[in-house]
Order: sequence, then structure tokens, then C-alpha cells
Amino acid sequence: MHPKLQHPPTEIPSLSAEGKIIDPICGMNLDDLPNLVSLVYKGQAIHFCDEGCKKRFEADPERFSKMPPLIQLKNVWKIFKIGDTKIEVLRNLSLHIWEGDFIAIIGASGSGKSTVLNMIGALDKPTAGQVFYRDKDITTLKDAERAELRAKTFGFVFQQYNLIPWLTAYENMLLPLTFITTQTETSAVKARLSEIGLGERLNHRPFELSGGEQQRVALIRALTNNPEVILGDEPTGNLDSSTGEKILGILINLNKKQNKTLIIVTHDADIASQADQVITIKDGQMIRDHRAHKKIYTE
Amino acid sequence: MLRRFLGLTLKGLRYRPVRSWLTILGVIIGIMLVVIILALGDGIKNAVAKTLQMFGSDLVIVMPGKETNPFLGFIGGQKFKEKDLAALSEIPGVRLVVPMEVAVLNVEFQGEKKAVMFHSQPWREYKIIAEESQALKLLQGRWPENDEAREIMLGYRAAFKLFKTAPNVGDDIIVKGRRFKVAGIFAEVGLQEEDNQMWMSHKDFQALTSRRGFASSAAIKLEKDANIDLVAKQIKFQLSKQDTVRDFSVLTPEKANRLVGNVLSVIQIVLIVIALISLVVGAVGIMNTMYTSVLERVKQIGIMKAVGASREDILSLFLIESGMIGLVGGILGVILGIAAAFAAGIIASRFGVRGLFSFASLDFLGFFVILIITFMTGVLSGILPARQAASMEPAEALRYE
Repeated sequence: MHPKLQHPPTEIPSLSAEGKIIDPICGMNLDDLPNLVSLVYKGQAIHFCDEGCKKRFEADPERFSKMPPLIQLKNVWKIFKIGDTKIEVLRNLSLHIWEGDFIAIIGASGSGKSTVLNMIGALDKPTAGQVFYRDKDITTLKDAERAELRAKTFGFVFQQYNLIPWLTAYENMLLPLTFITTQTETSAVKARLSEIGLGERLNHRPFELSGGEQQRVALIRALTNNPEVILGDEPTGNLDSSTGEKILGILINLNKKQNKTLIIVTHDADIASQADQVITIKDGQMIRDHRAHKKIYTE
Repeated sequence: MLRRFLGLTLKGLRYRPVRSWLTILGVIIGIMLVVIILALGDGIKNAVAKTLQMFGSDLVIVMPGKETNPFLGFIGGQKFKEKDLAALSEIPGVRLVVPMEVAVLNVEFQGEKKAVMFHSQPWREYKIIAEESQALKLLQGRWPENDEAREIMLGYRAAFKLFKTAPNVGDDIIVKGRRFKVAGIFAEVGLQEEDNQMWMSHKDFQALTSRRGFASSAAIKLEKDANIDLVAKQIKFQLSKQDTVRDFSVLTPEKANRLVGNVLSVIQIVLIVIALISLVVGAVGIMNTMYTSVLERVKQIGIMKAVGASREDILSLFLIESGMIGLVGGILGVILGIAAAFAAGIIASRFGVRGLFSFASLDFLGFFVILIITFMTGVLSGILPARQAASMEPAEALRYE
């Protein structure tokens, strides 16, 4: 039995409307969780799922107590129907992501971690629950508005690179410009190009490029519209370790130097260890996973 | 936006050239058929009009066979007695009666042997009909002097195209073992049948074929102020008294016109139905290609949606693609259709049928309408697959393998 919890003040986003107690940092529902970690901030008790979240709060209480998180998943369910069978991929999942964070989402295959990423990036709609971006419920947006959000706010990097096979590397990079009315300067893309480096291979089709080159093209494509949030679904999963490190280096650099929020789904413990926070998904729910928070616990 | 979509679509189409061109080919064939029919329709009408002109506006033709299909009786080989035909000249309003016979005879000129269609008739009467009613003009030589002169007349092509060395006026030609002299050559009529034909007197013809006293048909020229329908009725009445040919037809120019017109419109309807069917087949082809290409590109649809394409964008991309297939197929179909009609015109003129195709009679507004129709056909057949493609959630599309 956990102690009777006192509700924190409303300006701290740790309280859902249903009166449930949630961790302000990671957004986990704490109601049924034993052994909560708590502290008192400005006369209010605040509860966390574990030491990691508490440490993050303590490091910058102003940041985490004043503004809403950049992205919020509230009681999200995702149920796939295959024939008569229903598969619950996400089960009442709640989650917070703060602006400028580097978040690693880990979990076993089929745990639902990619689905979480798809929910965040407006690539998929929950069966139930809400997804907020800057306090706006994006699940209620019209198709065109969701498309615009994907175009301008999110940049995706996938494990399979996902380049269009009939377009050259350069045309793939410029693909996002096809669908938005405000024309981004192609010079910005070219500048990024020299930064990331693809040499003379701009006019090659994807099948003529190595995996590393394809992923660099995909990365530049993700950055074409200068998004606030970069979403990576195992972005280094198909690459050899040194190429993977380079790609990851570029991503972390964007997070550190340009304050872009970086959310990466990964199997790789090394990548997770470099994240500001690790979210572990198991059977469609977020769980406490002390081992995953290596960086936070060792600091 | 449209330009960027167009570029994206074109690159996609070029990436799958064989598939794209096969689909376009389906449309091309359909449109080509429609265009050929439209382009040659006028020419065929002109050619028929010319044939009817040969008929003459003050001529009534009597031939064996039922009214509904006189040509069948003609082929059947029934013959009138010459005296029954001659009796028709007693009818008021009839100026002259020309008994006629047609047969293929073997011809030899300078050792070269050919089978030629011969037309037999008494010269004096036929000359009047040919010159006054049929616009059959003399090019070289003269008309034969009398029916016993053993002279023949040659059609234009029979004179200049049939033999390696063209026979001249005055040359001898052997017909069925007997020697005939070429009296004259007719000017080109533009109808294969007439131009390839040779003429001889009815008497000579009967001597050659030993079928005396009979004729297979007759051309009857009327007086200038005669009531053509009334005279035709009287001819019919008069002929019904004879019993050598039970079923016969009396063709007035108006009736012949109607008969040919009916045949022509049936042919035209059949051709248009074929063309429409092939157009539908083309549309089904586009739809099939679009469906396959949606299935093939589900993942790419997901990618495009992930980088910001909306449902409308995807819908537009696929509709532009199917519309473009329709339009390109339409344009090429029109061009190839005109080319095919042009080629058909050339080939037809080789065989003596002139004026089947002319650029002047092409209906460019009609072709424009065809292009709009093919574009719309493309767009419409793309709608279902495009909507299916557009309505997918990006994540769902990206998972698709």
C-alpha cells in the first residue's frame, strides 16, 4: 500500500482531470504504483515514479513546474483488429515529453514503442485517449491540419530509410517541400547537405546508395522544413556501428545545439544511455525500469 | 503546387515505363479506333455519294432479286428476257432502255493474261446514259461505231494499271480467244469497279458467252419531265407480267440512296460500338493499373504522408497520374488514328477509291472533345484506387510490405 497522496497544485502538470496522480516528468500514472518517490516543492508534495524523474525535477524545478510538456499522451489506447482478434498494442498509456529533451523509448519487439512514436508524430490515431502537442489535442485535427503538423513540426527518420525509389537523393531531400505552400529555401537544404556530407551522390537513386548514405538523405529530408521535433524509429538499426554513431552524433548535435526535441525508439542500450530520459514500454504500458536510466543514475 | 505534383507524377511514371506504356497503349487503341471511324466516315460517305452519282439522277435500274436486298438476286444469276426489257420503252416517260450484262472474262494482251470484269450494253444507248447521267467521260479515242464493230472500251485503270505495257487506242486485245480493238479509254471515275472494268457491246458479249436474248439488268433513262416514282411503278407493273424473273427490284436513285445509307449507318454504328467497347477496356486498364500501383506504392504513400502530404495531396497525385495516362493515350490515339486513316486513304486510292481521307474533313473540335473524354476517363478510373490510397493512416501505410 502506498501512502495516501496529497494532490499537487494545479500549475504543476502532474494531475490529470480524472484526479489521478501522475509523474510530471514522464507522465506515468502513479495511482497503482507502490513505493513512490516524493518531494516537497513550494509547499506541495510532488510524486515521481522513480529517482530518475525526481532527479530531473530537482535539477530544474522551474522548467518542469511552470509550463505544460511539449507533448502529452493521455490514457492512449491503440487496438488493432486482425480478423476477429483484437490486439491491444497500447493500453491506457500516458506520457510526457518536454521541449528540448532527448528521449529514448525502449522495449522488446512488439511492446508498442513504435506505435507510441507514431502517436506522437501524428502518423497514427489512438483508438481512445488524447495526444497533445503544445496543449492542443492533435487527435481532433482535420487531416490537412495533421498533415501540416507532420510537415512543419515533425521530422521522421526510419530504420528502413524510407526513401522514394524513383526520386534521386536530392529530390528525396526536397520531397517535403512538395506538400507545403510556404516555400522553404532550397539553399537551407544545400547548407545542411554540406554539413552532413553526401559528396557527389546527389543525383543517384536510393538503390545506388549505401545504407549510411540513404540514412543521411533521410536525415536531411527530415530536417528540410526545420522541424521542432525529430522522431527516429531505430534510425541506426540497419547501419554498421561507425556509420550509426555518425548519424546518432548528428542527431544529438541537433538536440544539444539547436534545442530540437529528439525522440528515438531504439534497442541499443548505448543510445539509451545518452538520452536525457528513457521511457520503457512493456505490453503497451510504460513501466519503471531503473536499469534503463543508467545515465541519470550514474550522474 | 500543381507543377511540383506533375513533376513527381512524371518521375513515378518514368520509373515504371513498361507498365505505364502498356496502360497508355490500351487507351491508344480505343481512341485510335474512334478517330479512324470519325476521319474515314466522311470519306466513305463521299465515296458512296460518288457511286450514287454514277447511278444518275434520272435513271431507274431494274435488277433481279427482292427489293429489300436486290444485290443478292444479282449475284444469283437470274436473267430477264431482252424482249421483256425492250417492252419497257413503251411506257410513257421512258426515253430509252439499256439492257446490261456483267461477267468476268479472260483477257490477253501482248502475251499477258488477266481476268477482267466486262460490262456489256448496246453502244448507242449507253453512250447517252454515260455522258448525260453518269459523267463517264472519254479520255482517249472514241466510242465504238456500232455493235458489230468488235471494239471495246477500257476503264482508266484497266488501261493504265492492268498490263505491264499499257494498251493504246487501236491496239488489239484478245477476249476469250477473239480479237477486239480498243476504241477508247474512259477518264478516271475514282471508283474501283468502274475504273478496272472493260466494256463491250451486248451483241459481242452474247456471241462470246452464247447467252442470247437475255440481260441481267437494265438501266432505264427517263424523259426530262417524267415523274420518276410514277414511271417506276409502271415499270414494276409491266415487269410483273413476265415470269422469267419472279423477284425483281426497280431501283430509283432515291431508293438506292436509302438502301446504301442504311447499310452505311449500320456499319458506322457497329464500328462506333466497337470503338466504345475498346474505350471501356482502356478505362478498365487504367483502373487496373492504378489499383496495382496503389498497392505497390502503399509504403511510398506512407512516406509522403509522413513528410506532410495530406489526403487531398495523395488523391491529387494519383488523379493526375491516371488523368495523364488517359490524356497521353488520347493524344497519341488521335495522332495515330489520323495517321492510320491517312494510310488507309493512300491504300484505298491505290485500289482506285479516291478521296477516302482528307485533312480538310477532320473534325478538330471532335478530337478536342475526345481528349477531354479520355482525360476524364483516366481521372474517373483513378478515383476509386486514389481514394483508397489517400484514406490510409500514414503509420498503417508505412507498415505495409
